[in-house]
Amino acid sequence: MDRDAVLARVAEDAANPVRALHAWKQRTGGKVVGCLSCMPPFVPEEMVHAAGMLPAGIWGADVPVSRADAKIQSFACSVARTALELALRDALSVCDGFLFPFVCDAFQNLSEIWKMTVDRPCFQLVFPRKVDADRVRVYLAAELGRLQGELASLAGKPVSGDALRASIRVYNENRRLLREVDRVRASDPAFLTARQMLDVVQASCCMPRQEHSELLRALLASRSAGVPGGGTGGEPRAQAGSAGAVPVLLTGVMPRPAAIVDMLEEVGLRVLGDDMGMGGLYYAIEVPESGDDPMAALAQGYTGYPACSTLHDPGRDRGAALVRRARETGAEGVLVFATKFCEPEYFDYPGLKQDLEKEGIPVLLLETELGMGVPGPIRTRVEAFVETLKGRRPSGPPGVP
Amino acid sequence: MQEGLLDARRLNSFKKMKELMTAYYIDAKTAEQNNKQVAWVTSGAPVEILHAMDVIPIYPENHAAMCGVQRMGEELQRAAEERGFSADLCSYARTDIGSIHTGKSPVFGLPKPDFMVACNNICTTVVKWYEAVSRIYGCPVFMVDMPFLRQGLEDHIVEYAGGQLQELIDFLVVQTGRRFDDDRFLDVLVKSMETTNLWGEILDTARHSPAPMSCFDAFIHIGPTVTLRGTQGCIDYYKVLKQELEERIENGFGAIPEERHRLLWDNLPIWFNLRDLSERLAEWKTCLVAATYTDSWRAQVYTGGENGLDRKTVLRELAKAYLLPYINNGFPERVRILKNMLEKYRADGFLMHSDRSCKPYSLGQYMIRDRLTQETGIPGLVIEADMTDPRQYAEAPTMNRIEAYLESLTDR
Repeated sequence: MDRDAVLARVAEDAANPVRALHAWKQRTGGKVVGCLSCMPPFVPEEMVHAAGMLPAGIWGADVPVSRADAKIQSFACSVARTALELALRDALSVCDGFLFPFVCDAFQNLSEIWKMTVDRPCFQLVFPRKVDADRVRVYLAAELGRLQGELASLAGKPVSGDALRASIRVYNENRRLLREVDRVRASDPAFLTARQMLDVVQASCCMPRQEHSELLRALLASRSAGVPGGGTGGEPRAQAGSAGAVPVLLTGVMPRPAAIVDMLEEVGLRVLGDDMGMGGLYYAIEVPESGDDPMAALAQGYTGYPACSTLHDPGRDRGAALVRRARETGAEGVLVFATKFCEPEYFDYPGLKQDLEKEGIPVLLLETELGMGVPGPIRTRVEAFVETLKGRRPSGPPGVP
Repeated sequence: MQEGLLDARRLNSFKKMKELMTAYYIDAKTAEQNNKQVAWVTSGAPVEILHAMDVIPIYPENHAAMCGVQRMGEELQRAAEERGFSADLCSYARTDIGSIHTGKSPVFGLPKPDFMVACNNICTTVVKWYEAVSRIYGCPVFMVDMPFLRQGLEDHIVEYAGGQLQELIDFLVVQTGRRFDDDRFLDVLVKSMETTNLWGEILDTARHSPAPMSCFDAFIHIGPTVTLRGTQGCIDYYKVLKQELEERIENGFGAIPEERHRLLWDNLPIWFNLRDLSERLAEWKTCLVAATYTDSWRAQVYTGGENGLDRKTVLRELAKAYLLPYINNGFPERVRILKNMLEKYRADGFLMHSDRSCKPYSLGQYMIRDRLTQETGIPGLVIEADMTDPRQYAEAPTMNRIEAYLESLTDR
């Protein structure tokens, strides 16, 4: 598969995840578990996979909310609200069950609403909110064990330790490949646009993971094969690759709506990387493959994420990590994607801004909402931010002494 | 202010409570001179452990509520918003952060914390809020992670929570440099149990008709249970309050002049609107007889370590008590609790405050309302407001809706 075919495929699936899931289901007759979280890192995908089912990411959608209004108030985030809207419109009929890993109070309550509303099995994973003690991993392993029994009942068969270990290897490999893709995009402007990277990540959550890893391998291979955009002489396609583009990092929960991500490059930014739930954080971990207790291994892996606004750990400093990354990559600014009403992100923002600005790194907060299109003011604010960043550069064209 | 229907009916114990709370704040303000440490704690934190270590607990939630009652909320919240805290964040958090930055407060500000203890059995918000405050004061936060009870008390949850209480003790030993005295701890637990039992008995007086107290009284008199449970002064005070309520029952004296409707209240109060709302409801001959909020502090502690239990078992029992607050439970359990309360207090309706600041309490209330009505035949009304942010409250339309709802109850 060549690069264009890979990118077309992930773009297609990312834009129509439900259609991709239906196609998979028709082909295989397998069961789909819809995983509801804006934070895919905390979905125990390995466990669903080991039970022979497909874990599918449901992250809300760019749809207006009407039916869900009667069940969830307007001060819940648009991810929770539009996800419920999809269920009420029967747009998630492809899912045989649903899984909620708790990441915040809103999704916790959404899961309770869901249980009273949606007539299919609904599993809850009460993820610990602190990650700095062994006791946490003991609790999480027990909680995962309880969940595994529930998943097995939906799958209709028990899940063996070997199956779980095999799934851990599949997901570890995929995370390694994603990290490699991410590393290349940071160093090669022509490799992937921010939107293409987002499509790559989103598509991972609506197809079998081995298949996704094949696509990533093809993508990486195309680079060394010298195809356009492969970084060996082809013309850079996106403006992001042009000399004037300003390199930045993204932070927050998720870089959505996708239209905003498209806009970043149109106005002259180049995204070097991110630490987002639907991005860098997701593939940051490695679950131990050795040891005889796969549940303990998963608990070890899942508590190994870098700093995240949904977890309490004074030892993991998000601001310091972003400053370090900006220094390493040469990023000149940071964009914070905060989904409107997201408490964890809103609480982190003032401190993050302080930490970054103290180190001379400008910060722009973007309040985003699904189902609202791209509001004009957001574009204007990003354009102004680009000007600010450019104004901070030493005068004269880049590269000219 | 115009003389209201309720001014002459205020509980006499109120004065005594003010004395108790004032003494507590003075104690807290002078903690440093007295060689005591101050901890900021969440309302659902296992404070018995702190009392046993002679640490003075300070409740920012309580302070924010006071700011709300004094109508200082909006000004303080704006001060936090100017510093980057979104107006969509919890208004308690914004109020207190604004108070820290401006120094404005109805009690001349809270004493600086030596450390903080955040327990997420009421929300995750408190953890993020305390992280933000710890940046300001440069003091550590100890988080007690109390998992949501999707299906009651499961063993691994109790084990996890109980173990963290031992870790809290270890943390306090390091912070204070004192040793932990188990006998002292058991004494505090016994007192705490007595306090929350008394509080339960006080709330139960409202089962009588006319109810001698409304939950507006309970919102005010809950202060000592929240902040001082485990101390003798708190017990003494509640005995006085209980006696006053019992006298009212004997005399057939109600919290409002004439009681036609008895309603349940769900969620936090609208602090800045307490007086107006209570007066209007009294005009409409409606008494709020109970609230899930004030009920959450009922019999919260149920072990005094009797029968010579070892510390690990005592901590497990204490952890159970702290895992069980109303909002740490799934919706079926919430519906069950509400149903019991409707029956117990003989309520003919219920008001649910959809509190924009409190997602775990509020999100999904419409469904709980519908389920409760379906199961009991009792209609309920959801009103949209906020505990301390007046900008999120449209008073006139809300009053119209309540009035229409009450008329529909009368017609039934």
